[in-house]
Amino acid sequence: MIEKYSNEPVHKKHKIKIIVFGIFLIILFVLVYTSFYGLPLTGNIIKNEPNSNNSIFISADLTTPVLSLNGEFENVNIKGGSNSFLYVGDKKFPLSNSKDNYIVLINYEGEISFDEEVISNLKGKAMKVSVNGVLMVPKSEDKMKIYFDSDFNYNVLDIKERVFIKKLDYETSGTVKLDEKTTINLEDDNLVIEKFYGNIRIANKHFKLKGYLKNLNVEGNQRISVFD
Amino acid sequence: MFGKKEKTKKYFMKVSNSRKLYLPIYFMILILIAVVIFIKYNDLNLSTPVLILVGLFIFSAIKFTELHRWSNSYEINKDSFVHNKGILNRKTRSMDFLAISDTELRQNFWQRLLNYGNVSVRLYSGESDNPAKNINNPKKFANCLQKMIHAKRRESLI
Repeated sequence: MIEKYSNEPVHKKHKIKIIVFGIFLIILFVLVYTSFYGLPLTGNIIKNEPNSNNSIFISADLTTPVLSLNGEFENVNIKGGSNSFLYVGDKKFPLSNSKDNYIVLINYEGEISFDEEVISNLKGKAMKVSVNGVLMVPKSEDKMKIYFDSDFNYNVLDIKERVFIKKLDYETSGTVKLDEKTTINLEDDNLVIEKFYGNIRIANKHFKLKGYLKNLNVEGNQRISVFD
Repeated sequence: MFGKKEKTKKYFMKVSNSRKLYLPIYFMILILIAVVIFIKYNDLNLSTPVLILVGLFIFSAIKFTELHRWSNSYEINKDSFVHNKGILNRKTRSMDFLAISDTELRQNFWQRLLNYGNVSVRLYSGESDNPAKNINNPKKFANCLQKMIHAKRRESLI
């Protein structure tokens, strides 16, 4: 009688192969799907951010901080002029011809870093871009890449909707209105804002905030703490 | 026959599964890496949890293939042909050369193309075994085994 000394049953090996291949296909599908449509979890994360239901309403007019933002913004308006170029997709726009270039970005997603004088970094993607009235839309459904090649001197920077600032800590002067009731006047005081959600506008070196926040702290000549 | 080396090296030839056996898995890993590079290059969304998932799959696949390789080793020593199986629970089967009647080399088209295959042995007891599975250069291994069997038989006759 011939005895077979076998290692593993053949059907078990096939089962393992099918399982490994199945896992691979699932991961590949998830990878491709999320690359085009994003992770479904993102919606929940945004919902957890501060909103009008659980935060303090703020309206402020302050000096401009050095700030770096990263996220998705519905509308970004920029006015200004400098010797830089704006790249939109494969097109290049000189911005030195006018001191009042007007740039509008619709559904912008990416980074914006600025200080009182210049936008030091703008790099991301937008659904629609208008440069001095010339509107550009992408050829396909993809967003267009957009960036400045160097610092851009701006007069106005208006970022509307969905601006989220996790923490802003700087010395500033100006006024802060909370819930349309309390007004705080700042004079070179240290202001700490946590989890701000709303709109920002910088015009004529005035930094205007309008939205909701979780915590606010003032230190300096006066000490004020407001939290939700 | 083995000279000085025999004292330090207990086996004459030792092989384990060929990595060519895992080419489909390596191919899957390559596809995932290529897709990740494509997504990154085209500035599409590459979320961290998905990237972690891909990393986990790649890590597990490599770990699994290497563990599977280590779990099977085949060696020809002075007197016998030994098959070691398992990592934590080790199973060793030793077949004396004098008990082996003949060897058989098996390769399908794909294995011939990539030069790997199975070497099976038949024992005088009637037992048939296919111990050396998916090894690199199986012809060399089979020849070596044959040589050792013949040498052992001559030795036993003397």
